[in-house]
Amino acid sequence: MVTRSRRLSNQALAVLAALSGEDWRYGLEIATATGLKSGSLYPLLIRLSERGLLESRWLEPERPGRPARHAYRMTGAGRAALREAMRPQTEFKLQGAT
Amino acid sequence: MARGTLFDRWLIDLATTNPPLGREEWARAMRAEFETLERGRTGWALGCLSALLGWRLRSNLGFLLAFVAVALCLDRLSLLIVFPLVIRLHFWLPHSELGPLTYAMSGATLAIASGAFAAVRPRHWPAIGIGMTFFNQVGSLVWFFFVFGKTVSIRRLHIMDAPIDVGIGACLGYSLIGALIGQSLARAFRRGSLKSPASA
Repeated sequence: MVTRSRRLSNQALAVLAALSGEDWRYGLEIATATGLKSGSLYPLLIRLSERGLLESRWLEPERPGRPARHAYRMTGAGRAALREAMRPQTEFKLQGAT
Repeated sequence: MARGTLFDRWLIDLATTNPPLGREEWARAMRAEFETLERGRTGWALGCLSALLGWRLRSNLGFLLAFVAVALCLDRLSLLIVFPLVIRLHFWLPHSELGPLTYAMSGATLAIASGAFAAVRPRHWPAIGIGMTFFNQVGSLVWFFFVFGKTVSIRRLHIMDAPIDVGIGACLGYSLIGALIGQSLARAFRRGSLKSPASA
């Protein structure tokens, strides 16, 4: 049986690439790195998070009086997906094939 | 804390207050970034608003599709109900009363449909009333031109046997009253004031 692998969009790949370091990154930093607006960035972050490609957590504010901020980091699955997307390959693969 | 203009604040409030179910944390995340921004707050807030609209659209897609489909077809559907009734009544009532009765029954179907949708989404009853009138009229016009082609001018069209503005006003009245009744009944049921003592 032949299945089509779900490809990540260029924007999603840009977000994953922006998160390729080990550090947690904030939404604003990702927006600056990718050039995405908040209206595109957050739906993307949600999708990537739901697919288990990134994880998120609340970080304490750096300065008193500021709100806690949501930060993001790529998961192992995200790294694998990014590697896979960067490698030239066929779009179709046989299910069960290693 | 960084300050923003009132307009920026209003936009971000609009975008992040009362987000759809499951998106609360993400709305808080967008707002937290807004609070740390020194420049470009309006653009950020507008982006957040567009994200919220996308979430809302996706979470209400079924309701919206059903609403638009019913509103567009209501005119034709109401004829299926109203005409058989009028035909039965014409033995009992003088002919002069049949016309107004037909329009009143068409209006009643408009009110019932609006009321049913407003009972599902009580907070949005005014939008439901207005939307029902709008899509109902669009549906009627499409049907009208589909049947009669371009031989009839819009200026000669009558709605509910009245000039267009009066007819649309009447339809809007029926829809809004129906939607208001629907939302009131839904809220009363949810509060439990309309439940029977046995079930309470």
